[in-house]
Amino acid sequence: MNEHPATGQSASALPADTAASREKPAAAAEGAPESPPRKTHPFEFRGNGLEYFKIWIVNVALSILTLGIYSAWATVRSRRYFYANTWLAGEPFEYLASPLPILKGRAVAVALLALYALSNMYLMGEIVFLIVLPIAAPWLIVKGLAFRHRMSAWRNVQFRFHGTYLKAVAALWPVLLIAALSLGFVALLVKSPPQLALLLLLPYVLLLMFLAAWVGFRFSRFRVNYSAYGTTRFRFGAKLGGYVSIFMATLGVGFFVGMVCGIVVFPLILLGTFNAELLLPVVTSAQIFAMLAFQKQATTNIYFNSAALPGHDFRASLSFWGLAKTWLICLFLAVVTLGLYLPAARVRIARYMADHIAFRARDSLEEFSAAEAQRASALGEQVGQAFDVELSPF
Amino acid sequence: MIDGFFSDGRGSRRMPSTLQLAGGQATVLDAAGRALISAPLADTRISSRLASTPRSFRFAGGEQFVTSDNAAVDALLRQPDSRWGLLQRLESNYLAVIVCVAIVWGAAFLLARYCVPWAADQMARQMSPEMAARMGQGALRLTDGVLFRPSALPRERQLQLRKQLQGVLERYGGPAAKLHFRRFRRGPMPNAFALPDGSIVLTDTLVKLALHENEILAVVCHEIGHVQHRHLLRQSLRASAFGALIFLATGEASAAIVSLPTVLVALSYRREFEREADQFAIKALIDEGVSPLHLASMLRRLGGLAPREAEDAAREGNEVPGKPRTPAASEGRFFRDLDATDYFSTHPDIHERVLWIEAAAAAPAPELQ
Ligand SMILES: [Zn+2]
Repeated sequence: MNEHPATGQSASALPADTAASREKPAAAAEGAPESPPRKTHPFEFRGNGLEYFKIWIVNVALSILTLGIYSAWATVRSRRYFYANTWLAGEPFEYLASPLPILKGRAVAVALLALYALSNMYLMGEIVFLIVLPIAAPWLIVKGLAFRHRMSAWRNVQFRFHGTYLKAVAALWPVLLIAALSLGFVALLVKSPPQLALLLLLPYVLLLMFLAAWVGFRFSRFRVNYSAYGTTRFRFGAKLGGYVSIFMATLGVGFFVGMVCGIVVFPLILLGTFNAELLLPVVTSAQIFAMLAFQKQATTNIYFNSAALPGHDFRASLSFWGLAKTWLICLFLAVVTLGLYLPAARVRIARYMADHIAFRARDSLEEFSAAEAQRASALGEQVGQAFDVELSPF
Repeated sequence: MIDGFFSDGRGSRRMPSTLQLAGGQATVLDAAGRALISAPLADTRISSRLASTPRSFRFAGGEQFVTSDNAAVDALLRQPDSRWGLLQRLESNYLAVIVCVAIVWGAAFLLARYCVPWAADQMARQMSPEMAARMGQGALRLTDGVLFRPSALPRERQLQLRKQLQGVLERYGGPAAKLHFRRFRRGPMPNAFALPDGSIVLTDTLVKLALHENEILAVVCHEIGHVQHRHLLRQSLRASAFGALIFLATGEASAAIVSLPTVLVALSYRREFEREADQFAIKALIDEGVSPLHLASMLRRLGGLAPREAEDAAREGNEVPGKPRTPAASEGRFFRDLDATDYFSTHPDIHERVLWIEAAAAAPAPELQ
């Protein structure tokens, strides 16, 4: 259950290492003293599935017994487990939040959601949804990130997030375009005959993918550029083109998987062994799975490979097969164990991610200075974090 | 004495050091034995034990001492913080873990069996009929594109059926009730659906399968029952309420998935709904002066069951003449039975329902009130 995952895959972390070591003689030969060789520090996840399962099941049971109040303590313990087991250059990350602010934020969030549900029932739900959500979402994201960064530390230096509400709105506004287009398209689909709807589908999907790439790019840039480790700001160097090609390639992967499955499945349908209604969902799930895995590894790679601190950067080398294999193993074990494997699956995935991301340091890691001490958080941040479901620091 | 690292809180620099506790005073010494900081233990925040992750001692000025030596910290503190110490003991005790699994499954079962249906039905009651109808709008148009073709029944037959069923639709279905004839793209499958906006769809095969006009009437009454009891709305509310409640209680979406055994409970919702629709149909049929046995005989044919007489004969030990199955039902092989458009898969437990309806038809008054 807890062996090292995909031992064959961890070899693919090597290219980053060899690339770094190849850089050394080159830099020395050119005699460029301002760019000394970078030292590669791989991330390392030391958690263990069984260990986390025990923490997690106690968390869930106590949360149920306390009607949800313990969930704040549960979240802190889970996050602490994932942070403290993520190591870089011989030092663990640290999650600093205490449960009470999280409980407070969660209570306010539940009240807001209840209010939203009520308004959905008695007022015009669509209007609330269309107006309140676009206004609230960027605020929640900014506050949630500020809380998470403030509560994350490495070597006793906390992270900071300097993004503002307006910047978040600017980064996210293409989402509104996507939403409007989707609503329009569904309206069109319902009104038009099926043949025309099929014809419209391809340009619509292409447009949607482009917009999704745009959002992915803008949001990643926003998130990285306003993040800081102590007083040191991160920079994001990716271009929109990189994201667009990833999303188009994702579409291609979906198409390819669909074709391959079609070649295998179509004769079976013709022979009458299985019928189409039974097999089509299987093909579609395979397509969606492949697309998700491809997109996740590609966006993670571009995200880390484009993020940098002055003098330092990251190398991510996730692979489609590696991630897909990890996910499939998790999926299979989760089904076989009626879901009990899910917490251990989180550990396995965190380990895969850590094994394929490395930090490349040029200078000493001792020279970062801490930002002004701040441990208290405003209520806004506490509410914002209630919508943040990530556990691991990646 | 505990080995670890000290940092002053001003930057990422850390140095190897040791922590000593003497007289309630915690002192961090560097490699040369010089004191880096010294403060009362009561003023330092010591992180609680969590599996084997490193422990930190945080001082008031932001300084920190970190060590991986959990055993040494526990020994040093001797009396671990009772609350957190208890958690650590729970998390490392297998019996406690098994009890926790039982608690989670038990709670999920209770939630699915009692709380969710109640909460979802309350919500359904709050929803205006217009809103429920809006949720189902366009459903027929969308299914038309994928599932159905226009009916191939002769115009006169359709008109005749509409005329026969108009009264029942108006009396029991309300103003929104409409009748639609369709046939499946895939082939001849007898089925009937109720859509949330009050539309009732009959397939050509079902119409042809009926041996008596009242059997069609009985099926339509059953579907009106689904509409009147808002079964589609309630089913979808129940399906989403379960995940939402678990998420609210635990803050963990995955906790809902871990309660997979409760999917079985969710399946029993449908049985409850079919019983409600059958009850509605029996009452309507009796009010119309039609025998509810028409519903039972139609269901027997749809489910590929033997007619009632043959079954009674078999029960009395007489010879069963062959295995009388209708053509539509006998083509149902294993994979076909998994098919989502089959009447069997949208209406499970047909045999049980048939027996119940026949019993209810025999003694209608007490069963139905
Ligand atoms: Zn039914």
